[in-house]
Amino acid sequence: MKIFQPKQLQYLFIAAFAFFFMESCKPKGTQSAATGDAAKAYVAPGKYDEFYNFVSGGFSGQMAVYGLPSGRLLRVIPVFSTDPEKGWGFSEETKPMLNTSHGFVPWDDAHHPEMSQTNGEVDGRWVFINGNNTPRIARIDLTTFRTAEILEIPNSAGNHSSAFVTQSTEYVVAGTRFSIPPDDANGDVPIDSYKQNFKGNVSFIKVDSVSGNMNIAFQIRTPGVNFDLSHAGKGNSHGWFFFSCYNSEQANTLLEVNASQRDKDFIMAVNWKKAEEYLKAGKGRKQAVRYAHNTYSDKTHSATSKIETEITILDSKELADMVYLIPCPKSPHGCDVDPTGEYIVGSGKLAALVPVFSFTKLQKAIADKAFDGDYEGIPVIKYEAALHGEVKKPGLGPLHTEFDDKGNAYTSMFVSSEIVKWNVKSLEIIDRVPTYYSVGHLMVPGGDSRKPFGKYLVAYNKITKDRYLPTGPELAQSAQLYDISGEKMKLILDFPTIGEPHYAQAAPAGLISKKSVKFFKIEESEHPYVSKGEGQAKVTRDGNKVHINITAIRSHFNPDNIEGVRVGDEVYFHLTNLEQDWDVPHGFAVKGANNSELLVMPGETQTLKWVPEKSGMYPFYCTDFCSALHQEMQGYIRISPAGSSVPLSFSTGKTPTPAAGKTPTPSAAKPGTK
Amino acid sequence: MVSTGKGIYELKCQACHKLTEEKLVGPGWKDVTKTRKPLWIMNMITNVEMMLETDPEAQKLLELCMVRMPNQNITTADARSVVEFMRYNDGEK
Ligand code: HEC
Ligand SMILES: [Cu+2]
Repeated sequence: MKIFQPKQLQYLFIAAFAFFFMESCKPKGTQSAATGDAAKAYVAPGKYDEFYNFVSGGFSGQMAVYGLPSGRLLRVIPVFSTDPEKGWGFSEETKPMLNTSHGFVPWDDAHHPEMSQTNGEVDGRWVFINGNNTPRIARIDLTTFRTAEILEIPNSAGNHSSAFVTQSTEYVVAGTRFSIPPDDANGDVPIDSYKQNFKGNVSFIKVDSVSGNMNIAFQIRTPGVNFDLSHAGKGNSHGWFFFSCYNSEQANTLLEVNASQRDKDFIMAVNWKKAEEYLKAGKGRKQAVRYAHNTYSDKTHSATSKIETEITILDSKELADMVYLIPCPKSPHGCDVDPTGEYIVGSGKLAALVPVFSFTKLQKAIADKAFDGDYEGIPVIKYEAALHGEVKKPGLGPLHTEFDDKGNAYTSMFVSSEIVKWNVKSLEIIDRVPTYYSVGHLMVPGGDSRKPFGKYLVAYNKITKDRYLPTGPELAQSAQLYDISGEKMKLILDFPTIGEPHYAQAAPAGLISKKSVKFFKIEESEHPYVSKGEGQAKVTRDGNKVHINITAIRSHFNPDNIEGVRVGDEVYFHLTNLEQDWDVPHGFAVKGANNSELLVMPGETQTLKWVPEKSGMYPFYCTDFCSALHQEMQGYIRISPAGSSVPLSFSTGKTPTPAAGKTPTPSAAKPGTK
Repeated sequence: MVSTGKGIYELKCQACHKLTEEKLVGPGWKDVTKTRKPLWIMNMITNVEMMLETDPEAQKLLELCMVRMPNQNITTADARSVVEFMRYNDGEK
């Protein structure tokens, strides 16, 4: 029999004690949190989430995709900002996506994602999102999780009240935050001529129901106010669109004070079916403008950018019965329509109550001409005539409202950092919970459609302060997940987000996951420089342009030895990934390139432009760990001085073969045509 | 069928397989139809993940090559053409 030495005994004793100590030290409630509410956010390893959550990346310019309820970051989709990791805005194929009437713009501020809908239900096809600073709307394709289209918006500045859709995605809208002189007018005017020269605009962008392609159908010219947010009518109110506006004072300085003078600003109600009639009847005015329209093709794996030159304006001053204004207390932000389409909730950031308008009453007020005069020719509805009622003492700083499927609304309170749940019909407050801290937007999956999934609510906060380990002066922004399946809201998870989250959307995973593209079929590629098989890999010279059609497969490049390229040449690496399986990207990077890497998906071709400035030896390699021999996936390109007579040659695994194409002497080199 | 198979070879296999005995990333294809049964080759082409999990011969090749042969998403019909092309390469009419 084994006898314990005293030392061992002591050790055992300490271990047992430590175990006991740890158990008893746990604060009360942790146990229940871990197994109780927090468990609702737990998704076991290898298991999928219930919802995709698309969250604006704010000043990152991108859109992040999380799983709910786990809060796992699934993907960051580059939209308006360059992303060297994915070569977005760096590869020749993606550069045109960031083209604008101001040239190539590498950054923007992305605010409000909105999923496409069919009959008022989220359909999982596309997500639209707005670029705020250089006004644009992007469409993201949910089969590839990539930005498929970016449309610039003319006559706009601070494209904030965007990108919200009508009930069957007939339109996606964009509104101006800043009013400005129209693009075809002289903008070089005194700033204090605001009232005279500055105009607002809301754009209705037609979305093709099959391809998703966007085109501006018309713009409604409005008085020079600031538009903040918007939402489409649905059900009965389908055919109408509602925009919150502030600065009805038309101040051009110190808006903090001067735009908050009036007791009430407006919710602008637009009858877009009426607008369509005017458009058809030729009541629109053509305006010469310039705006970029960029589309990405999964066939050519390339983007094209086109400058459009005309737009049709419908003037709210001249065309009757198209636009009305509903007074709304103090600088409204949110302007949210409940799932039935009957109630329109305004949230005045500085107001002490939340007004709820009734669509039925609004129609009656219009029929009865229950107006309080007009604002620059637009009828102003009598506040009480359109009012369903007010939520009294909701909290401080109501900002935005989302809805569940049980007739409840959830309003974020920015100043008092809480979420208030109330009944849309009775206007009674049911529950309130704190957020950490200064909550902006809220999101219920499908919460702005006719069919919300009232299981979770996410709060997107502006301040995190003490919620995470400190990381210097700048902290992660945070989202907080609440279980709203019961009467009381329960906080079940905190998770950090990229950039600053504004609005978000979510949809059941099954709507999207089934349609996810796994790789691009190489047979179907129409890329002009695709190599369909290693036999097509080649290097050709066209004047001072050198085109390298290079392939990647686990784990080598073809060619991987290239010579005869000279200083003064423009080198284009057209990398085709020959893999035909899911999740096998190859990367590409060349030493000293003033450019990013390429990250090329199976069956795809992407191009890296490189202008070598010094002769020498330049290694290139695969940046994406692709197999056990990934570290061997490399090559060399030799750069000779200008005028060198080293012949163009390329090879893999054998002695060099002479290059295809003409090899002109440097003096005969002409600027090539691509 | 042989020419269809050749087209598929050039697009999706040539990067790793030579038509001689020489090994590139994977083994050269010379005489593969003589040493392997057609069904085995078909499985290797259309269901390589399963083969590398379960088939001892495939596993031996993996130990030799140290690269997992990729699934190139070949249909059964296309795989048949490739096998015909291999037979042609091995000197069958
Ligand atoms: C990325 C390289 C790669 C590509 C592309 C590739 N293979 Fe392979 N192949 C291999 C490797 C490596 C092996 C050895 C098994 C292993 O390591 O997985 C192999 C083994 C085989 C074998 C068995 C050979 C023998 O000697 O028994 C056959 C048959 C085969 N491959 C067919 C194909 C066909 C058909 C294609 C094209 C559709 C193809 N392979 C594409 C790498 C590749
Ligand atoms: Cu690689």
